[in-house]
Amino acid sequence: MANKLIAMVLGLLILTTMPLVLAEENEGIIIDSNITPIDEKEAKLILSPLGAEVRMIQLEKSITRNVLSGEVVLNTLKTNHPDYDLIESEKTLNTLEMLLEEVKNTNTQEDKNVLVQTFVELKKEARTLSTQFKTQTKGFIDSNDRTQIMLKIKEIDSNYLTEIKNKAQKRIREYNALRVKQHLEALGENEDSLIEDINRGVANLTQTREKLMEKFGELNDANKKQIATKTRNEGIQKTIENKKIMEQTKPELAQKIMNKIQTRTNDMNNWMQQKGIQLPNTSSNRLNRIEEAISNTHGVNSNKDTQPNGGGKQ
Amino acid sequence: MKTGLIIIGLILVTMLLLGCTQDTITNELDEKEDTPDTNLTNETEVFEQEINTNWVNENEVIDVGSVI
Repeated sequence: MANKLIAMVLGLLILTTMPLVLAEENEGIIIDSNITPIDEKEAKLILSPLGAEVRMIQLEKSITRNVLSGEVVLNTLKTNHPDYDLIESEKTLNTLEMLLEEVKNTNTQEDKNVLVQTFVELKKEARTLSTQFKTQTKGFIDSNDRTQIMLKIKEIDSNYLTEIKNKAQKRIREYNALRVKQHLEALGENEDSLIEDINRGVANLTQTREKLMEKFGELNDANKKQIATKTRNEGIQKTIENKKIMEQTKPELAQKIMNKIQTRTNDMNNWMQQKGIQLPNTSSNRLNRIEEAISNTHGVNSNKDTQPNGGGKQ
Repeated sequence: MKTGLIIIGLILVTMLLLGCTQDTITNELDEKEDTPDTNLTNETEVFEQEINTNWVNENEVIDVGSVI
């Protein structure tokens, strides 16, 4: 009786947990398709054209860092352990590099619904591939390798990522300047020196907020109420719009990511041919490729009329 | 046999309750994170909150996980 009971409970547990396992794991890849509040917050910025550029370049920066770090991992392992079979992890890193190219080529003038979905899918695919690479190489890395890898990654931060960090910083400052300009306009003010300071990175949030609140404090009660009501309503509308787009993004997200990875894997031979590389030596020119790619301006498709002084509506 | 059925029933009810609680917690967290605070009656607070939420930090990073 007791054995039957245990068997039934175990059977029940297996039946209830199996679908969850199967949904998450597909051909050995654990897909990250969970939409978090952070994803929603990031996506909200994409509702404005300049915000979309900011998010795409931030995503490009993060993926570039992972591709370069992955390259360091592979190079270190190849040097320290020439007998290790690293072909699968090389393929994963190639897929991540292919994904990076797609991020760079994303048209930030696309419809915002499409852009939000694209951003979420690309980000989740990058997370999936990064985790996959980590899982594939984890067992090969000893403490000596790890120390060497960490040192080299620090070098990468200063040697390779400075340019892209500066580009992201510039776009963020432009975005902040544009938003502040719009706040000032709502207050009926014009403070060019403040906008200039934000663009140059001289004015931070605290200083900017102090100035804006000072201007706000000078208004009469009726105007304060009018601006606050308008601000609140716009905020609510934006949140509702963002939630709606995120809801459209959720269905079958895991399957979409899986399909994208599959397509990239199928296209890898062509991609490698174009780059003139062969397995298992795909990494030989990766650092050069990435360095060259960073130098090419991001956002060939970027929206030029959204500059802070261009009057683009955010 | 009856005892067995009761135990299985209890397990199922517990799992169902756990699932519901988790959903409720997640929903509450989501609401807190993303819904603008419509209870702000003070105009100054509303405007200040708008400035804060619209500012993008230069050091902000999109988390795509780690490769090591």
